[in-house]
Amino acid sequence: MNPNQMARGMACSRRDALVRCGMGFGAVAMQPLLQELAQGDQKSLNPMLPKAPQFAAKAKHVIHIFANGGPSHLDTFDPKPALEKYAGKPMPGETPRTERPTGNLYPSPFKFQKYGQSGIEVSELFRNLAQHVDDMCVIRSMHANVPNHEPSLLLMNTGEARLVRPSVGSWLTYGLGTENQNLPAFIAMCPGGYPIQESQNWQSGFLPGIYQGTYVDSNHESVDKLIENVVNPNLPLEKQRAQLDFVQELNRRHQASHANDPMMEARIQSMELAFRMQTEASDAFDITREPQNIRDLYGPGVHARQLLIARRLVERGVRFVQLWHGNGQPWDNHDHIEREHRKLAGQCDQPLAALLFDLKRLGLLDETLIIWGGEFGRTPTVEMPKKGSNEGTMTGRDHNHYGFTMWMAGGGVKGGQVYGATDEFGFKAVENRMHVHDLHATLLHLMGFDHERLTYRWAGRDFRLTDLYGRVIHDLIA
Amino acid sequence: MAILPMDFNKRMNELPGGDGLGTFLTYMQTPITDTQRAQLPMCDFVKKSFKAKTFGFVICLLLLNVSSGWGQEGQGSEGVGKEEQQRRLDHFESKIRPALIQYCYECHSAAAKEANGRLLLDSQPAMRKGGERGDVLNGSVEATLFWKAINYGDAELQMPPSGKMPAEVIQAFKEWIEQGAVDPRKEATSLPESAAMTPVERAASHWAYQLPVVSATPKVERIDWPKEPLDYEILAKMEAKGLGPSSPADRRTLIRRLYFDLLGLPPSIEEIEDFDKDSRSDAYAQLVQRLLNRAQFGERWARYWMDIVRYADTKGYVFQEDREYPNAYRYREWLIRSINNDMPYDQFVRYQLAGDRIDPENKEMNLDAMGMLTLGRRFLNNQNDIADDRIDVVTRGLMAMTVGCARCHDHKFDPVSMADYYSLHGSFVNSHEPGGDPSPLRLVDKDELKPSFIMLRGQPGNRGETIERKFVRFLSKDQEVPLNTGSGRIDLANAIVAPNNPLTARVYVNRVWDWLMGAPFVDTPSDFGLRCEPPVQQDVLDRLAAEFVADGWSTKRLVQRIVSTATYQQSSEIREDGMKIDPENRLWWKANRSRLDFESYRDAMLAVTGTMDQTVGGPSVKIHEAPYPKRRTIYAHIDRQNLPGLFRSFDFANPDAHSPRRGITTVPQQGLFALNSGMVRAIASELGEQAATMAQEDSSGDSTDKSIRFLFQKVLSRNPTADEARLARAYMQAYGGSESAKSPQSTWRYGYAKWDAEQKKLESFQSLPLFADKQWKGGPQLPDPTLGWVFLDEKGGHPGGTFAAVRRWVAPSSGQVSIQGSLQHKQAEGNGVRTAFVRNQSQLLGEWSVANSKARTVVKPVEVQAGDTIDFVVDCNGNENSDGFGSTFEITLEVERAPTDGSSTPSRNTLVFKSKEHFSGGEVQMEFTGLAQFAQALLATNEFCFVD
Repeated sequence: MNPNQMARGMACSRRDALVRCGMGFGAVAMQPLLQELAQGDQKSLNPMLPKAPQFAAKAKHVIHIFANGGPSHLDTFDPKPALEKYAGKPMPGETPRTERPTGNLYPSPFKFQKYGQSGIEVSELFRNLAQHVDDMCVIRSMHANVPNHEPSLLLMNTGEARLVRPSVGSWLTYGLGTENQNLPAFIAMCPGGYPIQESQNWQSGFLPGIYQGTYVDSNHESVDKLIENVVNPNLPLEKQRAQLDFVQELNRRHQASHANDPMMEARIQSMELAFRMQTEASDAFDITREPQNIRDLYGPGVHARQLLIARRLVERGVRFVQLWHGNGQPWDNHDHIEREHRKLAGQCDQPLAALLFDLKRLGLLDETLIIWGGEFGRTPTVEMPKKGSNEGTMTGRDHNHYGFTMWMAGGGVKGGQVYGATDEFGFKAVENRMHVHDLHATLLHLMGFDHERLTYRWAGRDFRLTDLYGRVIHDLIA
Repeated sequence: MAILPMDFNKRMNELPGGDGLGTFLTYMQTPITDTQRAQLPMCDFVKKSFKAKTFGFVICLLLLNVSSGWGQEGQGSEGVGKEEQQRRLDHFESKIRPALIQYCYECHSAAAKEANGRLLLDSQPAMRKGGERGDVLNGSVEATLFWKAINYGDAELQMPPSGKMPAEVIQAFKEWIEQGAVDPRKEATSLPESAAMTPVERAASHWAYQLPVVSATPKVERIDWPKEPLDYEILAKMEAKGLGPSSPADRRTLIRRLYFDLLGLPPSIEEIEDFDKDSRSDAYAQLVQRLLNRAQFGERWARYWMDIVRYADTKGYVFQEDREYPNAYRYREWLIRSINNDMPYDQFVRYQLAGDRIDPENKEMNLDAMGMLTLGRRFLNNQNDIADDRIDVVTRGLMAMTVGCARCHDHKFDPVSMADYYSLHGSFVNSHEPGGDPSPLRLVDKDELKPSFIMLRGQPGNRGETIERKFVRFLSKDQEVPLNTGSGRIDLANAIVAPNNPLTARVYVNRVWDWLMGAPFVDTPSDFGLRCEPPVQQDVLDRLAAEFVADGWSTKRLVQRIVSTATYQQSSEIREDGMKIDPENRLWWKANRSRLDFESYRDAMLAVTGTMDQTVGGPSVKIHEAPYPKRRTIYAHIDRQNLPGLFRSFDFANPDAHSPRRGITTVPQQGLFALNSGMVRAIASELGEQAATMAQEDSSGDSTDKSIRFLFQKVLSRNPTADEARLARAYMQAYGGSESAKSPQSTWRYGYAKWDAEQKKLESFQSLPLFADKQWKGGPQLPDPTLGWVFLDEKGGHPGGTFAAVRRWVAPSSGQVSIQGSLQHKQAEGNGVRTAFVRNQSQLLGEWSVANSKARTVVKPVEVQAGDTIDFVVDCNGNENSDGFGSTFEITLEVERAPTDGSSTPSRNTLVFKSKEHFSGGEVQMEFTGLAQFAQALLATNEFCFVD
């Protein structure tokens, strides 16, 4: 992608006008050339129109399920029998430094078993999801940079731990536009508030603001609370249609006295899009329109609702949906990990399984990339009690960026495989190590982009999601 | 030249706008296979880099290359048999050459965009010569840089960077090096011109690094057209391309353009008509002068600057501390004041960088200027990131230099070194924010200054050499400028505005032109580096820059110069000849039509209601939250951490970093705002109410026609055409019915008005602008500077000295109304209050006065029509002391319903509306009258949203 062309398009250049085409009503009485120019520029003014990737893509949409806080890989997808063996004993060798002091090895309270043809071991926490393990690629060798939430969240979402950079969803909508102009291209749902770092997690950074994720508090059920300005509480739709018809009549008369201008044409069109967005968005977010058996499949609760909404969104062409488990950092179980992880997994195991099943049923799994994981994992060693926080308990694990698990499914990913491994105790990724940058490079590849060539010139440099890093891990790709 | 394919010329000609050299190079250098050719980059840069003057040189080079032939003996093959030599050559041709082409040439060949690391791998001599890191093939295989890079042995040097080559390719390279790196590509290739010279060498002739000079005005054919010297320059370029200027814009267009460009507000219909009729020869010049003198000029132009300096009211993400910058607004006030006073730009810059050195006691009220530096994102208080942000704002914002690129390594493209970066870094980390008086925004030099050093790869723990702090070295090579007065910020400021700085004035003038003309001369207003080609009108840019400095850096004079040109005053209509020859309007053959930016759009909506709060300066307000303050948009509270979607939808500048210029996108979220947002609905309601009041007060003529006319005048500053009036009337008749909202809360309004106690008439009712502390009132502080003590709460309120407090009820349907309530005034002091119930602002329904006493307020049944108003008016009786009152009442509405289901008797329905129980704050669920819907439609038109 040529960054300059992109940037000029944003600044309403007419450079590409002659080679594009579109439709606009004011064009009837125009000179053919002007007509062409006008129509062309309307397109360049809408930054969200679908664009072709750099090469044939495996996936068209992404659903990123963010288990914020850092779920324990040792209790979910990365079984370590050695923890049983050395339970309560110091880990041989040096214990790597994490955020807080940790003590002896702490075995998982959860049972693992093999599932599917592939026989991949998954803990009882995700026994429903595990039924689909043959569609899942479990990456057990993820690693990040530091054991703290803020930088790790930013790294996972933007490829940079501190500075202001665009998020993955912003890069993808910048590169691809979106297939359905009646819905936002990039939606971030979080029930009940923000995760930490708040909307920086779906920021557009230096990309144009329109590429920022649209935040939705999925605790709400009525659409007017979900999408800003999607309903006029004062005007029923029929009357609003008449009002808009009147506006467009006035616009037509206005156009008649001005040689056709693409910017004015574009605005006329976007008012129509806005009108349609009202019904389309209401429809997309309304899960009561799903048959009861499908709703039952996902089960009760907000996670079921937001995952079902996610499916309805990608079905309608939304490019990138990010789902958060809740505000703050729910998976951050420094103590009572057994109780808390059981509760958290209990909230999302069934709907996650339902999502994979449902996408497959609809033939959407192939083109939808599902990514699940947190900003890091947790330590195999128990977190030591600390005055003022987990005083008196030794029931949890600390942050661990040295090694953790994420899984992907659909969207051109080779399912039924485990990629990489952590050490004997699950502290560090040791085999086929995969950094967050590598995940990003691979994700962009699946979406049809060379991560080194999806760039945007800003402050004198051509920036990219992976900065100077990142390798495409071809083994993950079907 | 036998290798040139037959279709070479054809292909060359097909290249859009280029000379075809890229194709040429590609063909010349790849006598291999089509597949491999396809893998080579065919980049625009090749065409750009090889301009006509280098063409001959390149041809020669390539001819040599071709004539050298292929398959010659490689070096390193001495002492082996002929067969072995041939085998090694075959190995090169079959394995090595294709791999080099496939994996390396994109960055390491004469045809590459930038020869990375100044290393070429496309000829034997070049490869032997090595690059920036020296020799790449020296020593045993494992010791060579080449091997280390391709084997990914060193985390810092991994080639190709996109991923390791397949194992068999790496093995082939290993074998090749072991066997002496036989290479028949004997003819040396050279670095592309851009890479052959160092950035500093190239800087010596870069246009933007030479001082601007004013050239003699060129000859033109249309000598009657130019008004100002720069018009000659603009016209000459146009004429050279066979284009002429557009006709001048008509007066109505011109005044609207000027109002938005200078004030960010629309002119009223009266102002337009006055100007239209003003036949004096200097009417336009006078108008410009008047607008430049208005306080709103500073409000409009300060906001432009706020984009440059990434203004926000919050720090970004923080742990526990308060997120707000409560005093950020003081910087904004300083900007507005300085711009309105036309502070010379050099001084303007110096105060912002080093006000602590120029006005340390804040005697001239200039310390708040340092908010430019101190109001950035806080990066969890990481000092290096904070310094980086300041370096970026200063260098890109003021000099269009991307110094931030040199944080981790010398700038790849521009003559900026890490020493330059860490000099500025040193100035900033040797400054601190003492907080408190005399300005909470100031920065001062630390008492103990620390020496500055380079951080290798930008890592604080990776300490490089100690440096002397100096201003960007290549810009001051005749005499280096040490940054050593304290932290050196004052030296930095002085160097930026020094007469020998070629960038500062040009950069600013380019921006001002952009703000007025809708496009800059230089497309990258914050990057005038080596990759930035001279603009088409460099002569105009240079003239303006030189004159700007000669005028004493006066922004107002600069604005006046530009708007006085014939270029500025052209019509913005599209012309076919212009679109054919210059569709991007680079030659300025017309003015650029612009869509209102976010601020102008919202301000224009407020302005046309006539209720905009005109106070200049003051703290930030949350404009996106009900009850939608009526402050100008520049006063919006900007939360950089969670910037509301509204701002983003309208292309607002990213408050996290310096913004070179705003994008212009057209997205449906903008339409949703116009159709549905509470803010627009509130403004439309206000206009609807005004139209209704006007129609009521003026009894002549048809009220719908009058309202239509009134709203056209208000919103579009003109009368409707006969056709539009017909259309509007048809719309109003078919759809213009009131849409009353459902809740009883929505029938109430809380406002203020003038009460004529003699005539018993209410005049100019306005809604109270703020709901806070469970009260509707005039502003955050009571008494409010304009509205005084007026407030209303659920149980009563207080009148003001000038305005009565008015609790209004709007009849949701026709029927019979009766009222019952109580009234009290409890204070012994003061003279009490006068109260009245009034229908439709003039029909008195009852009056009561109380002073330290109580009264029953009862109104007997009276007929009302849907939309009628019943006002409970409380006036101070000439003295507003101790006028707090209590009042609650119920309005009973008996509605007669048409008979239903065959019954012959109409049904009666009783509705009760309670002043206390149905009191509400925040966004009032308003009744949306037909007139409000009509006003909203006008606000949504293209005519309203564009400036011609």
